[in-house]
Amino acid sequence: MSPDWKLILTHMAGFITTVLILKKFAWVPILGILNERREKIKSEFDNIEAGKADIVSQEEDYDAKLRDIDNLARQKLTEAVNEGQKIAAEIKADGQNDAKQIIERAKDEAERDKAKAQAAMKDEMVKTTIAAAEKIISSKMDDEQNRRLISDFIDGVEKA
Amino acid sequence: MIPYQFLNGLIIASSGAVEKTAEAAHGEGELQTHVPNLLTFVFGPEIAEHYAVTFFAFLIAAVMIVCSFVVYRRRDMIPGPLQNVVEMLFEALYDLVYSMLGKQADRYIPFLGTLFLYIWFMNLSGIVPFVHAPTSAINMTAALALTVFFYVQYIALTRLGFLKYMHHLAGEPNSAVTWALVVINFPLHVVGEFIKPASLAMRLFGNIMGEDTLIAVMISLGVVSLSFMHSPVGIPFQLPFVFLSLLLGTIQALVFTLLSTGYIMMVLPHDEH
Repeated sequence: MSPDWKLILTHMAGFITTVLILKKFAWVPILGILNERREKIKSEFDNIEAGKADIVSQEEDYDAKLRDIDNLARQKLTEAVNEGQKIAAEIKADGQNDAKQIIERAKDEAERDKAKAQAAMKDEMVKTTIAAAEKIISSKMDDEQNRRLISDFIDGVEKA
Repeated sequence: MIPYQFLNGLIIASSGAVEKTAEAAHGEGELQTHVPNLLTFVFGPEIAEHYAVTFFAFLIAAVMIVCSFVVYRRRDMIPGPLQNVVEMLFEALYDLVYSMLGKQADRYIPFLGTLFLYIWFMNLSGIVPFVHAPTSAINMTAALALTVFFYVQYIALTRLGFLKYMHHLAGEPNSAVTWALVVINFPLHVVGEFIKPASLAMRLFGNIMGEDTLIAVMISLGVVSLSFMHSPVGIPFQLPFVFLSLLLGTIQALVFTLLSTGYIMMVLPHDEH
């Protein structure tokens, strides 16, 4: 039970040696590794956060670009529709003009044909009248015969 | 030699030792207060009595050093099982010391951490078969306490300087009244400085010696209780105390380390912690 100074000094020396050895080969390296790992994890987390911010920024850029593309497409579409409407209006107007001209031409031709027909009928009437007059002159004319001649003339006109 | 006792392989003693213990109990009517250790069987009780503490203390230190070498050589950012355990212990101890010393923990953690691990392993070695707990000897605890004492004095003198340390020991007087009290304060603080290692040593020694004695007595009691039927195995009465020893061994190591940390903290310049 009484203290033995030699033993005490031996134990002190043993303990101090252990402390020094463990300091060099355990505490400093292990705490260093722990710090290094902590820093690495922190840096990884920072990188992840930075990456997230970058992704958010890129996402915003893409959204903006998509919005621009949408706007451009809508604008192009509107322009195309307007152009189409314009072309359709022109085609319609041209068609209407053409149709009008065709109708005009048809009317003119009809007028011309009508005039021709009237002229032909007139000639025919003249010829028929002359022929009838020649018959009247050449034969004895009575009232009944005149009526019959006139009636034949009128039938001839109606047939013509 | 028949393999013998200690339930669940926690504490095993040789049949010879059990028989000796039982014979002693029968012949002298007393219970044994020491469990025989490895040196007792190899070199006999006299040698064991003189060298067991030193032998097992050095053995434990050697195991710690070997473990640190292994971890040092195989250290990696992705730790293996041993490095994992060591890192876990080191980080827990560092956090503990950091909570008291702040940034100064980096400087003192090798000493304080090793102190805790050394005492802890020595305390727990008492429940390992054939091993004697070195901290159940006053020489060992006194050596540790004196090391702490000298280390604290060294820190005080180097960090505070001689005059400031004397000022600190005088109770840091700053008025006429406190200067007048220096004649009382200074001797009290000086005596307090010497009492600190004494209290550290006696507390640890008393607790661990008490636990070891209790376990030895319970083992002896278990053997004696079945000696009438010449059983080679006794009743493991010591089992609850083994678990108690696990708990108290850890607590005592923690108390010794925390008090040492407190002593260091008290002599550091106040703005540094």
